[in-house]
Amino acid sequence: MQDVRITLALLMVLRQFAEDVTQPRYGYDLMRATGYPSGKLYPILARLTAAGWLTRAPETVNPSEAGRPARYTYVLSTDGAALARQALAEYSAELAPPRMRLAPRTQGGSA
Amino acid sequence: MMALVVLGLAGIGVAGLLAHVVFGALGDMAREETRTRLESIPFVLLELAASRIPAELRPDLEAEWRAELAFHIDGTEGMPVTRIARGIRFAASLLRGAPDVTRGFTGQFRDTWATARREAGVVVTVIGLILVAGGAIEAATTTQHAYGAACICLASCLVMRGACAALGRKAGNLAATVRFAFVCVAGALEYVARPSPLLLLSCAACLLVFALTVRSQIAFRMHARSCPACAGEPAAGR
Repeated sequence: MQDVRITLALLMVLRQFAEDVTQPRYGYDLMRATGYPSGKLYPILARLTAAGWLTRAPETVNPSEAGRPARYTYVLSTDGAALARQALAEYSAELAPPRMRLAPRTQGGSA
Repeated sequence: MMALVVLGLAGIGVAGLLAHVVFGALGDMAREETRTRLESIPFVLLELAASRIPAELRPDLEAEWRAELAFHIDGTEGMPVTRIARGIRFAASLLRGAPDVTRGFTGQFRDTWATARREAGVVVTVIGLILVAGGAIEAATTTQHAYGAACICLASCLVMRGACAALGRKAGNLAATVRFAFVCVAGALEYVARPSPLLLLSCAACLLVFALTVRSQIAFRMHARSCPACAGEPAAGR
């Protein structure tokens, strides 16, 4: 399992997978869910696949019967799911907004 | 006589009708041809995108992208413009991002187009050098200096463009500098052979531009030394 350079775009893709770790996802679904164009999404999927976080496999359909070419699915690997959860938790804590005060700070001495 | 006129008019009418049918059919065929060609644009772009991927990854990725493209444009029957626009957007984005996909899988930046550009650059450089040599020999051995100067100028462009492509550098001010230098040399040779005020004037203008370009080059280099953002020219194809 290799390390992956974490970027915001990569976290957005991981988030889609983390919603249901057993659900295989297609490139088109991920493009719609994240709003990323193909030229941005596929490099991310390539990085995650090469690092072993994702498993990539062709569909088991007969193209002549299905009337369309076989698509490729992506699913989180067991280790990838754990790493994805860890990364999402770590970075969501880092990106969370600071705790806001409900009342303005009073000037001068205390009562 | 009347019958002839009627026959003539009938003939013209039939010919007009035939022409209408033939040109109408041709127009329909042309429209159909255009439509088919336009609909194939996304697939052509996808092929180009796949051609930027190294051969060992290409079949697998191209199969995936083709399947996704088919799915992407599915449901747009009867909306040809939407279909083409959607397909082009998908394929064009991949065309741009294909080297990043390769880098994602292999960890290295490998763009087959960049390699082809470098190889073409070497060929262009060699051709340019041959032309420079030919032009220089022509200028030195005959009185036709104008021909030699033109050859040198043209070839210097080729040499610089080719060398920049071969080295993976962008051809910028450096190419212009060398070009102006060649123009000055060629102009000086011409002036020695056939002195004329007009030639002297054009030579002086070239010399001035050459000096200004060199000055801007030096200023840029001095600035780049202290500015990390400007240090190093961007590599070609990135």
